[in-house]
Amino acid sequence: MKVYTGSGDKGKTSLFSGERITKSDRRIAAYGDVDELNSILGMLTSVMPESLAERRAEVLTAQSDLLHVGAWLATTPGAAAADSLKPFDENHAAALEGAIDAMDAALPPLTQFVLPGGHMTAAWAHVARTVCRRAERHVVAAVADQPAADTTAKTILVYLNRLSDYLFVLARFCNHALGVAEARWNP
Amino acid sequence: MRFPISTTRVLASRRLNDNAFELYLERAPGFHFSPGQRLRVHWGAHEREYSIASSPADEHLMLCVRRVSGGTVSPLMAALSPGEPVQVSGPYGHFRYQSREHRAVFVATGTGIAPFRAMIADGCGAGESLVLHGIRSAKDLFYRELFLTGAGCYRACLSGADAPGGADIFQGRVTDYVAHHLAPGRYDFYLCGRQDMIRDVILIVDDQFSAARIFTEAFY
Repeated sequence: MKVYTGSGDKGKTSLFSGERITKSDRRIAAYGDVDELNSILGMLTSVMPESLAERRAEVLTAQSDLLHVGAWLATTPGAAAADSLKPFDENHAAALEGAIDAMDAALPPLTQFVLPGGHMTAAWAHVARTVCRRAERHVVAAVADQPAADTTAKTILVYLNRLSDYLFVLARFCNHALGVAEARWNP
Repeated sequence: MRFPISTTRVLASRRLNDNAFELYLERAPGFHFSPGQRLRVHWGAHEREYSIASSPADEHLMLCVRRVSGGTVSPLMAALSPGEPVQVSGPYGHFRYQSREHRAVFVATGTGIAPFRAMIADGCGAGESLVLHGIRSAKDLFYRELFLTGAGCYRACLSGADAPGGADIFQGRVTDYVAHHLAPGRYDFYLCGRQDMIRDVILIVDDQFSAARIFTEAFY
């Protein structure tokens, strides 16, 4: 099976809902960021030790969630192709909130800014967090002209917002669980 | 998503030409699919997916299979007899008819016509769609009568020299037809077949039908 097709050589690509759009379209920027985020989460899981197996499972779930997010972003709201997609509901964000609360309970209170870094797992979680924030900004731009009734877009925005929160707490948790001191910001 | 593997049985096999055949299979109760979706055939350690060519309204499943010379699975499938078991799972894929919002142009090469047989038999785009079937010779003309009656327009695009007569015969490739004979308009293109055909049609559509939508199913 050839990976390359050549059909995008002139700067256009296909949405899941069939439209041909330029690769500079805001939607492509949005799901491109989601794809980048997913790849970084893959890097994160690859450096997670067995002692973080529960966290690793959460990140793998987030990777799966992001594939659904990408599919929704690649589909024009209301298109018939949307019927093929798995609904993306608020349960995904709720699951993240549960994980955030569970990790937070084990962490010392946050009293000042921390510098991104520490253990490799924490460092990658911080990178993922910042890309997640960028993805969120680009999704906001991409869905700005979509119908207000598009509840999936709203759900995705809530999810990305919560995922970046999760990744921040995950970075702290990784350092804490692996015995690496957080670097505090001393302005 | 993976579906459980189940055992079905061959009902019949019908040779279409030297390189293609139809395989009729029992359809399990509760097996639902949309026209355009694929059935996965499990053969030992090997898996192959084939577009379902029968309509969801049919009691059986029918696959339209290209017999790959030197292939691992298709020659064995071609030798199956009625009653023999076949391991299958599915249905898979998102290659489905979308809506009548825009005129459908179904473009296939060879046995890539299979999902469009299912769609037309199911009434998708009835009376207003265009079916373009790219084939080498008259021996490759499958389902001509169905498309002549079920589609709005049907053209068999023959790239070989032995083109038979008929208003539905176009001497040339499907890409020639799309580039030079398709009137300007807003279309939904459905492309199934070889990847180079799909690429070539997409590039033509990008140049000439900028408002089109494209849905693809590539054969490898």
